[in-house]
Amino acid sequence: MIKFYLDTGSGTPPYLQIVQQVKQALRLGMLEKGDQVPTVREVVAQLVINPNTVLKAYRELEREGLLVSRPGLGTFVLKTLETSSPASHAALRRSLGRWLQSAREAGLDEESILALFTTTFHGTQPRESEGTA
Amino acid sequence: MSNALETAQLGRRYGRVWALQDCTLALPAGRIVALVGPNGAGKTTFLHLAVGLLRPTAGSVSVFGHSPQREPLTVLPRVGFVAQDHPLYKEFTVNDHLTLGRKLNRRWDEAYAVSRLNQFGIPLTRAAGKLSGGQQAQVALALGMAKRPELALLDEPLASLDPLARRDFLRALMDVAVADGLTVVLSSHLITDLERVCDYLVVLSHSRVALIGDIEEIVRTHKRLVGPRTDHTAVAAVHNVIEESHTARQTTLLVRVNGHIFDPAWEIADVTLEDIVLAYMGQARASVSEASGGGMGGPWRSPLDDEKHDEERDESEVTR
Amino acid sequence: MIWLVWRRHRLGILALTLLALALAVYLVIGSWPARAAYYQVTNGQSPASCYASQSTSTLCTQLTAQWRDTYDDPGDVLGWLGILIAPAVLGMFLGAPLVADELESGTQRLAWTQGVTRRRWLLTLIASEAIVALLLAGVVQVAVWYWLGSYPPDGNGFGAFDMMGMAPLAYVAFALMLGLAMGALVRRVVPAMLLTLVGYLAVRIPIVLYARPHYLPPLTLTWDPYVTPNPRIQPGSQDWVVSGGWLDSTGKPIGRGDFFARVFGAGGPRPGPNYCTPMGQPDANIGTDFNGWNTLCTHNYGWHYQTVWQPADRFWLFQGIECALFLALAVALVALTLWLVRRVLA
Repeated sequence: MIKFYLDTGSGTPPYLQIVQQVKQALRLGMLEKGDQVPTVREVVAQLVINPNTVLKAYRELEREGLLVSRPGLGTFVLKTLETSSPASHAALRRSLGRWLQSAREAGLDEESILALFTTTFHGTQPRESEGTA
Repeated sequence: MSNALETAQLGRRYGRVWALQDCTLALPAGRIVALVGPNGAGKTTFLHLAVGLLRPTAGSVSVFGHSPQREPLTVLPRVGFVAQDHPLYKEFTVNDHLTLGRKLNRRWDEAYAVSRLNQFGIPLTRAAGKLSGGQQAQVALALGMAKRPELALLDEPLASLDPLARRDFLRALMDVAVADGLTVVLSSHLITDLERVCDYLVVLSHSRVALIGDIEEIVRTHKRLVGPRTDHTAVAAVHNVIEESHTARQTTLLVRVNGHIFDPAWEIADVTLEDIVLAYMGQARASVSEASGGGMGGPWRSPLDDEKHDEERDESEVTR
Repeated sequence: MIWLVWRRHRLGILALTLLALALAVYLVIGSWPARAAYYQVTNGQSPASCYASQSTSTLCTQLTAQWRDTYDDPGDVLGWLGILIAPAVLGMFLGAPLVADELESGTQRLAWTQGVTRRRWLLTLIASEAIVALLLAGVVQVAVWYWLGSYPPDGNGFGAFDMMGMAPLAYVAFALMLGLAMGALVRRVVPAMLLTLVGYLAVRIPIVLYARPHYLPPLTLTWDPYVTPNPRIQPGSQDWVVSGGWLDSTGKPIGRGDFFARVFGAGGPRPGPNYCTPMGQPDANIGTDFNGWNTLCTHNYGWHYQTVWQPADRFWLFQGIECALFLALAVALVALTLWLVRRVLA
């Protein structure tokens, strides 16, 4: 079983935070196929949030085929997310480490590195959400 | 989707002062609605009209299609109401309150109320006046929820509670909401109190509805635009400008966007719900202060719908 | 729902019950000496036996006068006041807080949003309170009957109208509803209580003074006491003499001052030099009968005495009228309260 947390300061809608945390848990292997995710009631009691938010997140995950809800029993993991093997994770981590090293050598402080990463990340992100800009 | 509560041109006047006017809205069933506005904006009046404690001076209100005033026996059992400062009979014990509820309600789930109260460790034999504020709020909530209502109306339920009691109160409320799928309307003068638990928003300001809608939708469609101080009528023509402020070189706009903003001159950023709410309250204040000059716009009207208005505001620094 | 009234106002109800019991005990115990004296036999006679036999013997006259001097005309001021004010006290402490207390503490927002209409809420509370009030009033009423019973010749006539029969219960109903309406009107407990007291007296006193004498046209009897010293029909001790006075030969009332001046003259109430000028010297036949002189005097003036009264046999009719009046007022006040609670406070 996993526990959710909510970052109210971030601009990310709460339902999306739950979606992301489930996906993260699936990616990291904390949730496996057949595992039960917390019931809506449990999440609501734990986070003190709107139940519709949790329902919306779970519906979204069901739509993506990651979760399945069995009425009266709960919601279960239908499939895990294995976007890449642990091996490729390690390789990517190493190359990112090298990049960070060179960024520091170029005199960038932590904030500049994060800003550079964020702008580049958003700049290359495939447009999928119903963006406004 | 059906509506739990609908109003049409609803208004209420005390003497010569309108506490609420021209309020037309629909609150969809199953939502948790934040009713937000500064003190005196008409929140309590609105809730009292909805539960039938007050009669409308103008317009109408209906709860699940029924008038709270004309059909109280249809509406009252379906509505759980917790008034501001959660009034209780100070000398009554918690048990006495349960007896009261049992005697005054045909639909009454005492076991449910007792289990809720036990869960929060509230002594049933203690006089209500000797309970802490948070415990009193829990008792009031338990009384309202023992009716197993379909609509819960809560007037400033968090105002007198400390942060821990607030969390407990909301936890209890959300638990009912999940279990019974009920519609909830919570009023507060602070949106931050309610942001986590609500998914629908009504902003009242100066006795009128300033903003209403799905919270996610509201957050998604409002952006802050920062750009050079140039003519921004092109933006205003497409998007609703809610708030604007200028420095010598820079213009900052809070807009409700309609579609995309293509102009690369504007830097676009997300806005917090609190900022949006404050902007709408400020807008309502501005339009009230100019109301003497002629007809007021509806709640959705942007000040920039009116050219003359635009010119007047252009040079003024609007600060919150 | 009587539970709610009890639970909410039990301190007040307990205090009122103690007061009612205290008043009842006071009346019962207070009437014992009069009662004992009434039956106390002296030389084979008692005021009771004299009254029963209508005896006019010297002993009976003496005994009756003695008993009357000590105990007659319920002279117990505390008892009187207690009985007359009791309904107002019930109205103040039971009626006035019923709605005002809710409004003052804001708990109407709790009570009026439960599953019953305000109308039902109010009517059930009124009914419950009425039961409590009438129980208390009943206790006092039984004591009052006992108390009045110790003054048999006068105790059950018009002299005890305000304490007997159904009227006191109608006063209680009126006072209670007055308290209720004042509470809904001013929305604060203490002002509502004061208004209840003032309002109760402001209605009760004028009705006693100005309305009750006219429920039916009173009987009048006009006679010349010199010609008819004892008219066959005249008010008895249980009748209610509304007014009485002298009329001159043209039928105009004579004021008290005028009467004394023209009968006794400057010499005061003694046969003197100026005594009854038109008559000249007192008739020798009259001798020293002081009263006789006076009646002869008025006879010579051509004056008549007129008494206006309501006979004792109208007692229960008047009780009925007074009850109907106060119950109608009570109903009107309930309607007013309902209107206030349902329309004005909404």
